Amino acid sequence: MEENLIVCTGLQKRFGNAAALRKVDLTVGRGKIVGLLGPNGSGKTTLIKLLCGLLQPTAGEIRIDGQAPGPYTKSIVSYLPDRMYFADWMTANDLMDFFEDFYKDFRRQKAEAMCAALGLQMNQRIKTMSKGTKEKLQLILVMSREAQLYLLDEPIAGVDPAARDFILDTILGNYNENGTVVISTHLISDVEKVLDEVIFLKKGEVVRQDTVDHIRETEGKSVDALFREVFRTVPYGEYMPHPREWDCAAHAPEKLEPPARAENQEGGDAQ
Amino acid sequence: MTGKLMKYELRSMLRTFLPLWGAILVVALLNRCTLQIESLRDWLGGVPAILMMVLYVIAIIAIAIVALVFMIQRFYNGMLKDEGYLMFTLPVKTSQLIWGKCLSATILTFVTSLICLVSVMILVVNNDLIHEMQELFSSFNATVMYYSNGLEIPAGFMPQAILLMLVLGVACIIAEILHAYLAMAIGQLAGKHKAGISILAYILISMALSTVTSSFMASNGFGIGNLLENVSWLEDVGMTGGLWLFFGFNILVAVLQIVIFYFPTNALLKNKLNLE
Amino acid sequence: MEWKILDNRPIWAQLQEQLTLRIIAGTYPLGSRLPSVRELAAEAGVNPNTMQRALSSLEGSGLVAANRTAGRFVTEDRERLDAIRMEFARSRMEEYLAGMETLGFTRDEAKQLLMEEA
Repeated sequence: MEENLIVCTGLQKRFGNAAALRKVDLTVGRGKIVGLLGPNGSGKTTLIKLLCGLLQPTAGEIRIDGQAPGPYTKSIVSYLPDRMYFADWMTANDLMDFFEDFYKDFRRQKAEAMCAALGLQMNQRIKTMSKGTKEKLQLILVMSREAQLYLLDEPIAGVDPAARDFILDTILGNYNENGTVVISTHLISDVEKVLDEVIFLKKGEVVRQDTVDHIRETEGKSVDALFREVFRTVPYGEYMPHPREWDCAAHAPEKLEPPARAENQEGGDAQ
Repeated sequence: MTGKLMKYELRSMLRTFLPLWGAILVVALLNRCTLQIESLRDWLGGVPAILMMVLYVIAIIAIAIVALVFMIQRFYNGMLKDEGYLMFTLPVKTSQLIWGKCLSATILTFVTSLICLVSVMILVVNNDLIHEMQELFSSFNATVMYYSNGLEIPAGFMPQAILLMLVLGVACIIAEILHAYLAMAIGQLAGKHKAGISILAYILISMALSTVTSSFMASNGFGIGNLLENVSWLEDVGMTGGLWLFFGFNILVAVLQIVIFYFPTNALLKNKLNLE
Repeated sequence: MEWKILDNRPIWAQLQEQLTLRIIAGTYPLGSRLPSVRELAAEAGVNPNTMQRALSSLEGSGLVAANRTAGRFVTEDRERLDAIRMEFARSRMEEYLAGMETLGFTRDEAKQLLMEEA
């Protein structure tokens, strides 16, 4: 067993001319809950897809438990994508059969107990379930594996607060303590309490990797507040209703001129 | 692992196909009744009997189309769309995923063909037909003897011929399925219009392949027309030898196609997968 | 008692403080066994490693003792508890006085006001 669970060196991924990941060097240990944080388009999903073997890197390499992504790493990685991946003719029971067949670390009893706690019928077809129920079922399946690495892509995006609590409690209550959980999200205040470590991704690069408590100790603020600072984009508008202290001095233009829109508007009217 | 993959693949296919197979056989049986029993055939001026026959023809066409659509859809939706997120993160090799799908689709196509054959037999087989078939076979025998200067069809020829035909049939089914898979594996590389580019790729591959094959056939004299014109070589290898030579060659061509289609598909899905 | 995590300080330090408060308040009585790390973490909705760190630091302050097999127990040392309780009380009073000072009350005025209220 390798000491570091994830090691990425010089990792790059391009889609055509667009670079999704520029140069990522990353090491993640075992027994941690790690937040992969960054705004939309910063490369979070790309990194996770590379880790679970759905994408191949353009350059650089990935080692998970010392191995390049392949059948072995897939057997120790439990992946929750940002979408539903079920064939909808299946029932919850069929899915359990499927997971039991392919993943040796799947704990069926645990999964069934969690479904029962939710009041989910095992013989109900996926097709007839609500979106929220499907998402919960998918999370239950993923968290019922005793995996080394859980890769959870945006598990709490677009859910109501009650569902968010269910999701976070399910993750906390069920992950394998010797394994590592990677949660990608841009909703930091919701997950900050459950994280050991955070990785900030900005435009395809890792700009900071640190523990939550170390950030709070040294910065005197929450990770959420730090995130807002790191990823701050200064808005520009004709009227800035509440200029804040920090951008008055450095960023405010001396004289606000109305944007040159007049010509376009005339052109539009003429048509 | 390929076996496990096939288990789920076949399960999802059988859900749709068991009822279809059943329906074909039942409709064939009903047609047999209307053909056989005079009072039924002439009932209401024979309209129901005709409609029943039309229904049978439609059912046969429908099952062929459904089988084709299903083969494509199980791969396209099951591997290259959302379900791909599940399939490609299973602890199996890409090759196992491809063969799991391909062999399941082969079995499905094969059994469907068999069911159609059985339904035809239900429809038409009777003593007269068996008699006619026997006559046809002996006339075939005579024809062969005439052309081949007195060579006789040896014992055990027909079983071998049927076996070789089956092998060739299965090889051709596999080749055609992999042909479609390769086209879709190419199509998924595109960011947009994946389906359109898949179809385009299918057509281009077909054209390239038929150009190569026809020029090869023409230059080597392996066409069926050539074989029949120059039957003298049959004297050298005997009837059974000729049979093996003919089918062996065609099976080889199918296997070659399988190789040509499979390896790029595997490489594309392994290294260039681009799920939406 | 609700678990409450504020933004400005390390989470483990806040957990340690709130665990201490619970012991003082008798939620976890003297000599009783504490719930497991995992249970406590789930209850507070925090990372088990962070809860572990808070508990370890409680062990350091002598309020909690770990028994290798049976888990963690609250101390039976009442004097130790009382001392910590006084510490908390003092710091609360300091907070009160500091707050009153920003409102413009002197220490004596603040004391006077408190007496009248109570």
